[in-house]
Amino acid sequence: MILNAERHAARIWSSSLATVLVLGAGTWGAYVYFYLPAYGLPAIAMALSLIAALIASAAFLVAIALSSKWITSIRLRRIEQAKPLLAAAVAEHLTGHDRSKELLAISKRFGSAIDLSLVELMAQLTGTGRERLLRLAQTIGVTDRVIRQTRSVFEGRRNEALGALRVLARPEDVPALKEILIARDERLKVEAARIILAVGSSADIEAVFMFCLRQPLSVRALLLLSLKPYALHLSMSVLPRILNDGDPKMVLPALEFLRAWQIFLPLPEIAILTSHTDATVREAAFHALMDPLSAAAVENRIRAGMADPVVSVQAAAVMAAGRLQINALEMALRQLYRQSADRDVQRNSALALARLQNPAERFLEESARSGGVSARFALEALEQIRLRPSLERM
Amino acid sequence: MTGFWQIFTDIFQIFEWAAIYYVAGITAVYLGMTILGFFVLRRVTPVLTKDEASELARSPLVPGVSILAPAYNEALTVRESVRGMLKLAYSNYEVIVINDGSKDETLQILIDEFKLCRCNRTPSSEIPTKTIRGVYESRDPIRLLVIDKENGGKADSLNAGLNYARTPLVAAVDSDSLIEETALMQVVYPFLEDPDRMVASGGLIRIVNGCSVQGGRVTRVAVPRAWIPRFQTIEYLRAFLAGRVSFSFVNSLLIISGAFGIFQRKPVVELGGYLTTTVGEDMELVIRLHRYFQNRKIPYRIAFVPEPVCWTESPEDLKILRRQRNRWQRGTVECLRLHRSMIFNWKYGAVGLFALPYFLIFEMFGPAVELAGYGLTVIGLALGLIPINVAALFFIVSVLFGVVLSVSALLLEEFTVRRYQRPEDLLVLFASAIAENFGYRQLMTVWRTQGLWDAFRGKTGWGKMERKGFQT
Repeated sequence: MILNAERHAARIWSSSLATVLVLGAGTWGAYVYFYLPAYGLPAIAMALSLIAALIASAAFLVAIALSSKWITSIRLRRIEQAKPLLAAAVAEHLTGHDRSKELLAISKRFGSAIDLSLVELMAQLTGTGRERLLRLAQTIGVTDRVIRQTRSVFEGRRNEALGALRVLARPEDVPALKEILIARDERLKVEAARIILAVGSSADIEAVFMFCLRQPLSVRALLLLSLKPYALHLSMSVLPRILNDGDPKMVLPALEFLRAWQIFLPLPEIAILTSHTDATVREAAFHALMDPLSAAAVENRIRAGMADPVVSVQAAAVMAAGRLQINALEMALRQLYRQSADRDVQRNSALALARLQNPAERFLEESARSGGVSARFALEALEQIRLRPSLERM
Repeated sequence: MTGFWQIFTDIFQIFEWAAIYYVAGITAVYLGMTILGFFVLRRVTPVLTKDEASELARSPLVPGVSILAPAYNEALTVRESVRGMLKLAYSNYEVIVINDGSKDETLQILIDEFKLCRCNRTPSSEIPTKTIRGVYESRDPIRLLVIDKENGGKADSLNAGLNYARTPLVAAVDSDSLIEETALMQVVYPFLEDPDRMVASGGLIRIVNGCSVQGGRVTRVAVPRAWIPRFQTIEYLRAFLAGRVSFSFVNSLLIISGAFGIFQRKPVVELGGYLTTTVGEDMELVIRLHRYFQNRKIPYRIAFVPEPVCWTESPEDLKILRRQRNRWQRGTVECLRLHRSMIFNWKYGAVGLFALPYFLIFEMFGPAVELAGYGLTVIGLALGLIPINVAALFFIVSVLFGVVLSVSALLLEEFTVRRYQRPEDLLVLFASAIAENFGYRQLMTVWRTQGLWDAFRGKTGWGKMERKGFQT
């Protein structure tokens, strides 16, 4: 999941260089020992040597591809061999007979092939049967092996291990999962975070949220919806602390989450942040204002935001006024609509006025009839609210 | 006479050696890019699994995108392709189709099919364009905007779309292309990974001929039935998987295909949008973006995503193919001419010292040099300056190099993207990789040389592109 190859630049360059050197050595060998004596013409001999070396490399790659397919098929065959033995032993184990020793022996014989089959079986079970198998997996070392495999150099193995971990993980595994959170592979981090959310305690959920705030947007976007069910819990635990601290590095992603979740959360700290010294924080705070019950409390803050020296903050404040439908701000909105030099602020003001309905709507109608540049914004806003209210224009 | 003959043979030998060095150089560069491309692809694919792409696409944190689809006389394909565009897996996007004064029923088809009615959407920027005749929105709850304007060409249409777009990102697409369901997410992903520096990204364009299409989606991937599109399939793989991957790795990607590319709207608008006076407007914009950011010393990235994002119909008719290649060659020449001050200019880093010189030496003059090489060989043979066995060996070597490079591109595909599942498809492509060197490659050389000549003569215009429509 890492597209930015810059992170692997040293490795990519050194591998490429090594390949060129090997290819060069092969070409030189073929040239000196075969083609030059055979053809006599240096240019032709060199070209033919290079082609021979390239064909040999291509053949080598094809051989690698084929052998990898062959190894996979052997592995799959072993899994198929192990399945009936495993199923029989597991069935007996589930009926109350302790078959852990037998299963350990099967596990030793078939290696990691058994782990996946056991996980497959486990995924089909619920309740006490699953609990018993979870304990068994712990006893015969499957869980430890799977956690180790998440550190494999092969991406396929890592992904396989993560799939297994989703089924195997128990609250006791959270410390090991937290170690995965510092991995370089983002896919690993995201999956580990999700598993922690599924099996972890409240403190673990808070830890995942804190971890998430420090991650790049790609990781935050992937975990956003997984964290949404815990929004209320977070709003009563870590969120007030983060918002009160006011550190833009943490506050901005936190506000971004609050805006994207679109849930009314009892967080008065958001309104306070609308007067933060950093304009990006102020803008994000206006975007995160959701709670219509707090409309009266934030009216003055929005009014101040509408007079902010930074245009993007003004636009965000105007949007908040429309979203929270604060009628007391109608005159301020009319003024911005008429006087702002910024297109976005004018358009947002018209839209906010249209949301306030009458008499703001009547004002827009008159403005539309009067013509002029701003009339177009009035027309657009009225059209949007009346004809396509479900689709907010982008 | 002996003196003249001596001078002639000396000059001939100089040219002969120059041709040999040129071929050696081009082979070394292609080979180097293939090797580099292989290791880059090993590190970066798969970018996103299908599950991840659709999960990310649901996330409200993804930036808004406006898809700009210019349409000129696209009555045959516009319905299918717009339907496909409206079904993309992405939470925050709208489709803007720009009817560029079509003379056929393109606009009426759009109005009827998507229940369009006139609307009062206001533009958010003022890039000069031909007159806008009307803006339409659907009465259905779909995010589709249609701009009807006077004919002004593709770049002019994209500029009109840019004016009406409001999202931070814009995607320029061809309305005759089919977009993969998760394409938008795949190409937006670099903007999530590196939001501060990413300014543009593009993806892998594949050929739709031979594939089955249903509801605007490619439902079965197959190799084209005709040989000409098969050869183009190989060409596309070579260009994208080796060339663009390597250029992107050193942040000197010059082409984001006009069929599907994503840009940050703000810098593009600040630059005045697409240039309307060139036929290579996609390449020109990317070079201008490089110039803009390098001149201001602002850190930036332009990325290529090695995932198939878009399917395009390739010409099966030689006449149309000739026009297309002629246009591409002219586009390259125009862009290089416009930005000649950047070539070999250390100030522009890898773009000035690697990408632009590569395009100048190998892409712009390459076909002419190759053609001169063929001519020299014939002259040399006729005058007895080159023994027939040496000429034959040279020909075999040149063909073998071509085959090796094409097969490497196919191996790259097989090791990374793996879109062709049936072994017989791969075998056909291997056969095409060999066959393209006997006639097709030489034909392309002639046409591209003509394109070079036309560019120097100042020829402009797109030429006519006829569509067959998708196989449903």
